[in-house]
Amino acid sequence: MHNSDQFTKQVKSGTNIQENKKRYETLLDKICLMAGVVTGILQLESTYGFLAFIITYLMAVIVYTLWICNGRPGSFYENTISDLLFDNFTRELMGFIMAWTFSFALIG
Amino acid sequence: MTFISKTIQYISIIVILHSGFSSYEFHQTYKQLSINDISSETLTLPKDIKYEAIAGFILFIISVFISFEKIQYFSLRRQEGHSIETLSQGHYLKFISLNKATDSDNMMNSDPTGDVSYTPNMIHLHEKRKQMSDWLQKQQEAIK
Repeated sequence: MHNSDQFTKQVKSGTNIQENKKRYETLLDKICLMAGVVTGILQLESTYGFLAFIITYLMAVIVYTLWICNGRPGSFYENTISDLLFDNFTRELMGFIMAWTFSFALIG
Repeated sequence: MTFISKTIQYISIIVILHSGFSSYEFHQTYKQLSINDISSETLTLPKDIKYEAIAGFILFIISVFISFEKIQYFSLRRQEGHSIETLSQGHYLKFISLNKATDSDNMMNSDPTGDVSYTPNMIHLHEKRKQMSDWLQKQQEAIK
């Protein structure tokens, strides 16, 4: 008998998983859109803009993990690394670039 | 979303808009200077505008994080005349493991499968009536 047997696995609540993911997504959406606007106001170009995005994104992930998840993301998310770090990356990058180019063109 | 979070968010948006307007004004002037051939290569965005934008952004992030509240529940079967108590597990998110996820249901006396287990077809009516009449009898004997 090995431990990956379906009866020995911990049963998870699907609705709660979805709800937690949704809340995290909303938080990242807000932060990354506003980061884009601020990057445009500062008129950052090329690499600096993407660097600003990556720094903001990582800071948001770290603060979320320590504050909202109480440092134990495992009890609120199924696959911690992919759920918190990779799943929303493309979505947020697209939102960031949209807000960045918009405010950049508006101000410059 | 709490009142504090909303207030900070409005302030941060105003700060960011103001810095955006300042930045816009600066860049318009900058363009004029370069058209008039005045040496303007050393000119960069003033520090105060930069700091204002960054401060506004930090305020915004704080307000977004403050908007998370520890989840609170109301008990469904509270007694008459008692003030409404809020129950909390002290977390911002909901637990995913099912044994802890059902804790909140137990805490507020909610029965997620109630619509099935209380369906009239599922209830042994004769048994229930017998129990009720027994209970009534006991009550009357106690009064006597």
